[in-house]
Amino acid sequence: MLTNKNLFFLIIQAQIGIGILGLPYILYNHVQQDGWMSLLIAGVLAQGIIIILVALSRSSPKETFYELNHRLLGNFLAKIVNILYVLYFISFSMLLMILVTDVINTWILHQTPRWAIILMLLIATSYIAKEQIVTISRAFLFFSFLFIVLIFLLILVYPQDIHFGRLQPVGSNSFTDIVKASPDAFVSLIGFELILFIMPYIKNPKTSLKVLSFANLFSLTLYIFLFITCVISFSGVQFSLIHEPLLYLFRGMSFQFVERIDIIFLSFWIVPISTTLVIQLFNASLGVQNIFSFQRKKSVYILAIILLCLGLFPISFSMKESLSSIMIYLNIIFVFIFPALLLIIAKLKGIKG
Amino acid sequence: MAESKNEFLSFDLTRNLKIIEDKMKQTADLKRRKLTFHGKAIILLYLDTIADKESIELHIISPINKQKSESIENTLDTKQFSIMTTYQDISDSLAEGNTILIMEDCNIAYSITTLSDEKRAINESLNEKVTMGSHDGFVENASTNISLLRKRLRTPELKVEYQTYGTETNVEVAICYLESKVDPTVLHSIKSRLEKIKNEDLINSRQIQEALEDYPYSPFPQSLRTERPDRAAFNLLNGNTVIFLEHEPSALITPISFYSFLRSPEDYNSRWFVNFFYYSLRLLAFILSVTLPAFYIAVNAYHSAILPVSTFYTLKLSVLNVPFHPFVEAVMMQIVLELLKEASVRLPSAVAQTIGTVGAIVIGSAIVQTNFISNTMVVVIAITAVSSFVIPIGEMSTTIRLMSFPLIFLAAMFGFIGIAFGLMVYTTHLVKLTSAGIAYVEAPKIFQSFLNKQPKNGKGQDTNAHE
Repeated sequence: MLTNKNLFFLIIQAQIGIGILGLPYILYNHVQQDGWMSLLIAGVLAQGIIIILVALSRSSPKETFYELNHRLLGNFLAKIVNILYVLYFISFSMLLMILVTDVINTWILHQTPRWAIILMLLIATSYIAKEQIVTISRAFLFFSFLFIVLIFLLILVYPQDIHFGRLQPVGSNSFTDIVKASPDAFVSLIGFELILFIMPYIKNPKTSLKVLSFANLFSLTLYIFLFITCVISFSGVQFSLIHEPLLYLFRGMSFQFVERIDIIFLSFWIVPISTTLVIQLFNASLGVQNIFSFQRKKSVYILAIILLCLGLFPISFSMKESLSSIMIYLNIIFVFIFPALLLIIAKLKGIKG
Repeated sequence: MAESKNEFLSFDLTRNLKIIEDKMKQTADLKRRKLTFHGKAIILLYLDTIADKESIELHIISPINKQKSESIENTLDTKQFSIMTTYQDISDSLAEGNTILIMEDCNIAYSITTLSDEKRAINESLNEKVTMGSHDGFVENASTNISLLRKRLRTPELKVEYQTYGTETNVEVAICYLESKVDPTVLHSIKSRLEKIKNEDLINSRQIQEALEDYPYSPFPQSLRTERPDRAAFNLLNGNTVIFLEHEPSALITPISFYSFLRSPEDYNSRWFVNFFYYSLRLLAFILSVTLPAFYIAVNAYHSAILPVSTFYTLKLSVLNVPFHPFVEAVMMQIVLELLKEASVRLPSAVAQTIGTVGAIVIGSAIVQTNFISNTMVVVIAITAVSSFVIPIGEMSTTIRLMSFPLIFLAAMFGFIGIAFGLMVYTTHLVKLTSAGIAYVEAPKIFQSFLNKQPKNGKGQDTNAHE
């Protein structure tokens, strides 16, 4: 059974991943130095959604989301919804894999073909995702060591050439602009929907809301810290040119024995990125298990093969762009709107929360 | 002929002897000795290869010749004996080294314990040496080994259970645990696992280990094999179970945590910061021996950019004339190292020193001079080897050294990213493992203290991590 500690690390590992590399760039280009406000708004939105999700999953703590659908919507409709969710997780994983391989190809392995990286990524992640959720969470706890490294490296930036003045003027953008930028920030906080699928495995469901809120707070604080560190380190012109500000931040650092911290950091940051993929695979495999009544281990392998086949297709830049813009809306539909509707249905049907 | 298992002895002495000899397959070392006791013929039967002749002479033959008492029981009462009535019991008892006494016109036989006690003296264990602490080691005799534990744990809580395994070997296995400390569910699972190999012929403790393991295909040992009584006693106090196999000079400790393999009993005999330092050193050695060659290859083949200019030139100069890819270099050097190690184990110790010289001078320096392998690679592999030898338990040390090979391969394919993925899979694998149902690798306790304020549950498990 998952303890509070396990749950906390599961959620932060699901939330924090590839978003950390590009988020400051996206936010800065929308709302400049006010990006942290968009982050806050996204955080509050995420907190609201967490409350909804916890309320929904607590309405029947012994069932996963897929089983709950069957009870609330009837078999036929539930099957369609479950298939849609599996497709959503597959497309999320697909986008994630495209983004990862792009970053790796740009920064580290320039010649390695996309399929080779995807193959290795899928072997490693499906090896983890096929395990029980408790094992996954215990492994994630060890991987969380990298967050400490990240924070440490970010602190090392501070003695360098930084200007706090770049944070001013505060609130120069209109409120609507700031709100409009928040969906971009929200994408990086996605991951807490995992709670819908692991409720039956949680030891004390009563405290899950508190743990999830803490995890969300942790991720949000990390993102804001990161954003502020980037803003005070780069000028506006620089910001418009660099897509991965975090890596450039580390590129500037050098020590007696090591240079190019960015390469080492990115290589090992693959681990938190993979954990996001592991969670997606886990969620999707539960769905496949529910729809086709396979073993979960087998469903993980099937999903990995599907993703590998999808990864073999050549992907153009425009495809990637459109996929990522569609995903922003899909995220909101699948993580927010649909569970909210389901909660209303559950309340109407009179299931005790 | 007597084939039925429970056929009883008859009053006919000649028939009895014939059946027993047939039961023993007319083996040449079955000796027969004829005596008379108050006018009755007495036959002594024993296997002279394992029976102690001196003891037979002293405790059986001479009292009978003196004819101290009227009954044979009173004559023999100085020695431990039991009464046998079936041929099967008699032949089993003979095979165990006992002497059988049969009388004329009598349908019972006496079995007298005369197993020759050829014990090895208690020596220091060769494979787990310490500089501080006790110097006794387990021997090939389970009861001696248990006595070594009892001397350390003088409590009635120490419980020993004997069971006999195998159809041919009939070897005894002893399970020891502290009744007050052991977790009953864990103990039950250990016993039920052992129950499954009840009919297997046990020759070495690996067979027991395999039965106990939850993941037999994992490269990591999931029960600790030690030759040191102090380590076994320490683990008993932590609620673990110690298993002895007769004729095996080591104890199997289960359940065990991964961290125990990085511990030496010496640690607890030192000041706290010495203890802490050596524990950290072994953790570092573990990490180095798994990742160092892979790291070097990744840097050399993909990421030379991370080195400062001066270091970069040093590295490039050293690999300049080497015709091989660093991956080939590393694998070659690792294999040479394993060959040297294996050769020095197999050879008698006097010759083994020669191997050391050959390894160091001939292979070490000549291989660099001929430009087959670069200087830096020799250094890297040497550090890896030395780090792996630091691990106190031999089984784990070998495992760790071999675990570096997949990482070397991944590093040659994908550089640092390959290492990251490899370590990710290793971590998950280690976390997945359980030893007798208890987690093999627990997270460091730092997180627990401020995130999870639950009362510690279960005996024994919590102490494992510190041990």
